[in-house]
Amino acid sequence: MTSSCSLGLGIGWRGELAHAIHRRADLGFVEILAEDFFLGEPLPAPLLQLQQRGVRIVPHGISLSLGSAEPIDSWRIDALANVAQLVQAPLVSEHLAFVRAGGLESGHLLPIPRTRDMLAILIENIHQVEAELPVPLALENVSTLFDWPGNEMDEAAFLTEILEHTESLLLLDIENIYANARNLGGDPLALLDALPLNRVAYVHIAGGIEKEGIYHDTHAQPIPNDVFALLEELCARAAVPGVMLERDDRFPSDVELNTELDAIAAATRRGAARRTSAEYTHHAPMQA
Amino acid sequence: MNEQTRQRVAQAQADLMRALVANGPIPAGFDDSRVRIAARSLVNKRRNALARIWPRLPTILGDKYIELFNAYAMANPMPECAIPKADGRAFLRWLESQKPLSDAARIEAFAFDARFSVTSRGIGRRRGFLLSWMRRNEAPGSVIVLRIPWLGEWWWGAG
Repeated sequence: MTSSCSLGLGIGWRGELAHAIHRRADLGFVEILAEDFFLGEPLPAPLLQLQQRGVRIVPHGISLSLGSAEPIDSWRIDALANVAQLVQAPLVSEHLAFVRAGGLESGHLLPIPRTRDMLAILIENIHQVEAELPVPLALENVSTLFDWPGNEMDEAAFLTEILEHTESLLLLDIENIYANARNLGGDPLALLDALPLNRVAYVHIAGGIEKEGIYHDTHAQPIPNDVFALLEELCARAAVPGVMLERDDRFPSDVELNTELDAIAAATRRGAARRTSAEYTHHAPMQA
Repeated sequence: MNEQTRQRVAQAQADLMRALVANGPIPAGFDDSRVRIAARSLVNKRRNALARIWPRLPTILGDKYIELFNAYAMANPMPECAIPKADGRAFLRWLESQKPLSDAARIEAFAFDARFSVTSRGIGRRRGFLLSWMRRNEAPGSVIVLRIPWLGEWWWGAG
């Protein structure tokens, strides 16, 4: 499956940002936290208004634990499918991570080992979820402060294998790539070059903060310039169907939020312009 | 997929999880200092998430909020539903086990219990008939709540 649904510019919907989101006319989609609606709560009025305006709603799950070697709770898959139906979602997304094991909850996304065994488990889990969902699934790469010992492949190879063996799409978090490169090493551009970018469903971008030499992916600070540059590099390499801002804390003023959304749109356009001009240059001799 | 492979990976994940959220030993081969930083950042995320959705708790506890929440979180992993508000209710229960709560904190717990029930799958809103009260310790008087399905919910003495 390749990504075909065009989403445009988006943002993670949060109650604190509801007014700013409402006033922003160029949004193509918003992401909602799927778990907020797992027990059958109705959509709040501001989201219904966005939906009537034609803004697409994408449920984003954090608790499925796709990367758990323990079986996935089937009620969670049902709940995610119900939320997809409730909002007439074009697709849903989840993480390539685990959040529970041995009866404990982490409350946050934890990295999984990049081994053949984990890959087989993950692919089996994803197939199970794909079979139950009414819409396509997009899988998100996560950030981590540490890696598992004994990794058998790099992140690009691991993600590529997952996409090759499933129908799912990629939710590419560009800030997570940046954070991992800063904290664990590696070349983010080489990673982009190695990924099947035609499978990208949409892109996450966010800010973070450095503390004691470690970059924390907080979603609570402005997007660093290097992350904008990485978004431009991504868009210079492939046409991505959507890009969205994640802001989860220390909510900015409407002006700051709009400036950041404008900057995301601008970086996307700069990348796309580089791509089309490169394509033109590439094809020019043949047209002559 | 063979069941033994799943069990082996599940065991490794459970060991790492215990190191991160339940003071377990850090499994061999991991970068100890980074796993410790990640464990601290999980506590910070829980504390910040709770402060965001239940701002009255940090207001009531004031300067002690960070220290008290960190002590609670290091001894208590997230509740099964992993919802910050449920974490907050469990935090109040833990505080109560340490020393008597202030009336302000008791009212928060009382109001939560009147309105919500925590299950393994999430937090449900209570909707049935309810008449409940709580006697204040720091001043005379009580807090009373009355809920009649379809008609509404009334509070007395909570201000």
